[in-house]
Amino acid sequence: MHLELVVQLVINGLLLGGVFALAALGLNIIFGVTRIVNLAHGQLIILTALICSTLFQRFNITPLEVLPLAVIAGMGVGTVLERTLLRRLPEHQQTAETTSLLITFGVSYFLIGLSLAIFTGDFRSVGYLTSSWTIGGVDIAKAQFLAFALALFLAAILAVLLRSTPVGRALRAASQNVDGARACGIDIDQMRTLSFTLGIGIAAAAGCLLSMIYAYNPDTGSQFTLIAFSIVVLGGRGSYAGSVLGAALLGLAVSFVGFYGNTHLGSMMPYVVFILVLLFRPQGILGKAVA
Amino acid sequence: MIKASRRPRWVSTILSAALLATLVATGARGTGAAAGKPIVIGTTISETGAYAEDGKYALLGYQYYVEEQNKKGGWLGRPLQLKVYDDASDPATSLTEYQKLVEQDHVDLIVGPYSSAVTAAVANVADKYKMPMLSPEVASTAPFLRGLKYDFMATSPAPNYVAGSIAIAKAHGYKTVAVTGEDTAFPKAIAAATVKATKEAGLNVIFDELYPHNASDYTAIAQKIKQANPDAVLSAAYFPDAVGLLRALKQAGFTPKELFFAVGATEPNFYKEVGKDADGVLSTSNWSPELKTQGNAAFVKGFTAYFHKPPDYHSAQNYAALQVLQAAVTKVGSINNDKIRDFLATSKVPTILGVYSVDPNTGIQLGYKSLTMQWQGGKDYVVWPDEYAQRKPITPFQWASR
Repeated sequence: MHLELVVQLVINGLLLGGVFALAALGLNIIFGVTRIVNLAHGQLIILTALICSTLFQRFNITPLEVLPLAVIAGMGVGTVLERTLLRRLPEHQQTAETTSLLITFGVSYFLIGLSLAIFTGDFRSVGYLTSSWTIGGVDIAKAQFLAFALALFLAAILAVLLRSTPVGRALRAASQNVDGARACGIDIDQMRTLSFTLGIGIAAAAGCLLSMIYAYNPDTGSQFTLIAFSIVVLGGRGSYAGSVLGAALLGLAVSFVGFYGNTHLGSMMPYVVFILVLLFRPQGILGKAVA
Repeated sequence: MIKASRRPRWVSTILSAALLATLVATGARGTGAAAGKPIVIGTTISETGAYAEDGKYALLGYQYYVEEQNKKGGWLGRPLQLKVYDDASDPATSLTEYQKLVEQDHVDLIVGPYSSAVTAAVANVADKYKMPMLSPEVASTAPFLRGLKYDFMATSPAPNYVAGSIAIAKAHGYKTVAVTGEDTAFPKAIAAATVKATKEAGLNVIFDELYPHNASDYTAIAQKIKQANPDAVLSAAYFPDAVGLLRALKQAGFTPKELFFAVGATEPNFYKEVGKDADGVLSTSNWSPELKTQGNAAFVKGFTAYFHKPPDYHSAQNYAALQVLQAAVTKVGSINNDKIRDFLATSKVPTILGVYSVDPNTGIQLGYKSLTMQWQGGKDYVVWPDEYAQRKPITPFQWASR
């Protein structure tokens, strides 16, 4: 009985970690390449979720059916966002970082306003795949499992893409050393755009899955930005395996602390871990130390 | 250097003419059947900010009442006028605005704002200016235990919310109860009242833990409730956490015999979002469009025709508050705030919510009851108390699909 409970808590934690990882992967690729913390990330996730909920209610189209189109649309939005707004950042690195925060902050509020105008402030949620599979006395929540599987899949694809393709190597070069990469003839601007294309595409995928797990309204996006950001820091900037591992650790922490301690302590975990990592291992679990 | 603005004279002439035209136009608009100086009723409402959605429905209740009364000739032969500021869901803003309503706008009467937190702040203003304030959107009893004399609760108090769910549990022989909810002021007050009332009813509270606002995970609390294995889960939840907890309980494979969410499961879109899993869920409301109180059917019909959407319970509460104020003004025969206060403290007034009456010492509502609702086949029916029940409660609770 007790072992079964512990297994259940591990499963719950890992699945929650999958949900977190999904939110974090897109943020990580953008942050890794451009050093831009996309503060509008959560709002883009929520906007996608709100669209999923509307399509489900009006036309009975499930979020899983929306997913491929949402990813393509998200990639489009990411491309446009980078080309129109973030391309215009000042040259100087530090000024650029501050300005990018202000821009994405502005975008996040624009998106909240837009979502409120279209979807109102009502809370939405998609009532699809809300049950569990029960295997050997352990319950595995269906929607969370899909989010978990998708997160693993995306992290694997990103890893292959980055290691084994020319574009991927260029992306990595751009994230490690801008000047060196430029000297090697890599089009840095193109890499920056690409990181947004991929990052927002993944955010849209996350939105589809999260639409079945949480209840959300246009105001709830920033919560996901925060959790995603602490995972990026925990796992290491630019490390996708790190993001998945970090998210899994956080999920387990929330699950176990929430059960054996209380849920208040549990929900503090992402931020506690965030501060501890910054203090003791600023490069993250799998990140490489910056000289 | 300050440069004096020197406009040509014709500009000021045009400006004054425009101003005059505006004044005439606004003056002309308020006049319905009633004549004379309007009775101005001041309030603030959360038209923006965290409480905006509910706040807007509350305001519509006031507005519809004023519209309806003006068609009938107003009060004391004078038309009514509502003076509203947006308090942005912020107690401090509301406080300043109420002072402005009294000191600068010289309103004749005031009525309460939206939410317990905002009302608690402005109750002091009511006392300071000795202006009685009917407060239809404060269910928390705490603000009334501070010795203030001019604030009157015009809704059912939070402890009432759980009475029905406990009565139903008891009637079905359920013994053990898990109490949970969001750890913020209003749900916390309901949860505390639930624990107290459950024990008084002779049932066992075997689990009592709140979860934080904006929780990203409900599986831990659901898992704990499953381990405690109670007959009934009584939860003080808003909408998003009601959905989160409901799903987590289902995914954990736990089926309590009774599942109650105050107040999150009451909203009409709960079923829309949750679907069949909502069937059998109990919730609470202070009002129902089906309620057989005097004037309720006419209110629902008139309101829906006027705003092209049905009222919610906030609209009904605010409408009812002005019904009570009307009874007071009519009885007193003038805008005498001291006499109106005494009337509000001691009288019984039938409204669309039920019969208004308060404890004269604290102003806490005694007359209004809370209704217990249950989703059955996609509709939210009153199942308790018996005198208002539309359906019998369906027990025990079961998940529609597993």
